[in-house]
Amino acid sequence: MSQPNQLNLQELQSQFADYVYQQADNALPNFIQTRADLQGKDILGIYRNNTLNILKSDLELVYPTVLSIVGEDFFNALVHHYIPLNPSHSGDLRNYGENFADFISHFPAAESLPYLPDVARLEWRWHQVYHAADHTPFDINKLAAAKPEDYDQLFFSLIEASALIQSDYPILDIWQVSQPDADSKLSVDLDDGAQNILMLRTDNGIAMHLLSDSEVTFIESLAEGYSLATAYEKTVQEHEFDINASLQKIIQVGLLNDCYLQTNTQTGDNNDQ
Amino acid sequence: MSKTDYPNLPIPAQAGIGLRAQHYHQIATEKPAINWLETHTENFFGDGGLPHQYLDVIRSEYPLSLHGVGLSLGSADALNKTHVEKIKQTVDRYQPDLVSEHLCWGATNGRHLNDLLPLPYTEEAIKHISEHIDEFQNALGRQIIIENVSSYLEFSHSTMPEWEFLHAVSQKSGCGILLDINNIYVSAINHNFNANDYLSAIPVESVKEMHLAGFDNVGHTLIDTHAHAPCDEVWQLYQQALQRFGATPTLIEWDTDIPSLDVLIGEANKAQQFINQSAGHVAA
Repeated sequence: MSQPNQLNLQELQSQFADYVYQQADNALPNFIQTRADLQGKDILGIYRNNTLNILKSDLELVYPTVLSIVGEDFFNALVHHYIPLNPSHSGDLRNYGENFADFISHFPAAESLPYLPDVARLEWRWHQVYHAADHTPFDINKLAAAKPEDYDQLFFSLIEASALIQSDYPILDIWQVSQPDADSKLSVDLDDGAQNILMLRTDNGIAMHLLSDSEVTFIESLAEGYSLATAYEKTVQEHEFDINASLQKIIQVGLLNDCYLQTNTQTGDNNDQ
Repeated sequence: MSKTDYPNLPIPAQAGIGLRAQHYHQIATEKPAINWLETHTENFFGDGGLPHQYLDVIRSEYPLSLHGVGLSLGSADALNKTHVEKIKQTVDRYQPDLVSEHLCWGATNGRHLNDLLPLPYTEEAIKHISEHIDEFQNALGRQIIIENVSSYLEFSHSTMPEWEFLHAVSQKSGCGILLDINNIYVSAINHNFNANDYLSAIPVESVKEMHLAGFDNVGHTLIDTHAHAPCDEVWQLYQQALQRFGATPTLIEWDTDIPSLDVLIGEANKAQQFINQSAGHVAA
């Protein structure tokens, strides 16, 4: 198979991908018929542009707020550095762009926008929440039926269409002022400090709620598989915490999927996620 | 995901349109008169949410075709089992009347180019893609149809024209053919062959569907952008195709700068008139 005038299918495809992502110098252009004024490399360039444009359009769809904050030219510079270093690994474009936030955090030209990686993280989670599994409304009667002495055996599952986002910046404010329909009178003070967001999908779309640090610890503990009693203990060790108000809020916004009693104490500190 | 029993809605030998996210809401709520719809299979790979809610309603009302763009049947690598399984879940859930993929490749060793890339037309490539189609059809438990793609390059070590390659793959794997009239036109101009040679090499009984779309002309190359209505030359070639293949389910595809639903339905009505004329011609 290795005669100079042959290229097997595996080699051809590998060299094609090398050219599209890296503009690698290889033998492939010699196996492409020239036409009009176009040489093999020119023709491969059409395909390189196609893939770069397809992936760029996908990133624009997933990261519209990053795009609106930095503008088109800066976004183009970002993605033209990002794409060759981060080839797509799926035939389902929904999976492309997962580590864009990490990339931005190491992109020197973005240093003056230290909150930008968190905006990208928020948008990636938004994208995940949008496509996450459906759920039925939480049955409040199951919780009402549990007695206080059962709370160390009472566990919750959270809806899949939800996400916690923690930022050192006022990330919800930043996100809100960057939306196309934002009130032009809104402004953000970056010194306003950290914000935590609970994002979840409801019948009316994706909602975002601010959380206190104590609520974050509590929700994370429940999500990690701790019982209600243990999650409470873990939270009050670190923060002042009003469990009644927080539980009511969590139920109201629709974060809970189900609750169940589990008498096997082995699972009490189940933390296998 | 609970399995729903949808009505049995065969795709008629009429003109339909591509279902795109911009139109989910309008179609699901207004339920306009459209003969049938085709959507990209991968758009429903998510676990839940709005896309599934809409498709559930739409599938109950309209004949549906699922058209995959990411499987890369022509890769020299083994077929991607995760992707096959996702398609199977989507097909099992929505029970489409037609399932289609492309005569192309798009991934190598885990690197995806997310494009419909041309193959060298060799015995080696026939073997690879036919085996993959066979494996895929066995996984789904049904026949699929394979679409010719637009191409901007020809490999110098190809040993046969594309139409011969497509015919051979269809014979070997038992798949049907989705003839994209625009893609034939684009490739015919780019590579200077006679589009009628293509049509006349394809067996009449293997063609289960046709596609119509618009391209961009960048001077040295026609690029298949799906950003416009079909051009006059493509409509002419479509009429020639109808003469040979008879009335065939035909899709208006428009994926970039997507217009209002009315515009798409208008293009479908135009295709429908040609289908009606060809049916009248055969009957007479």
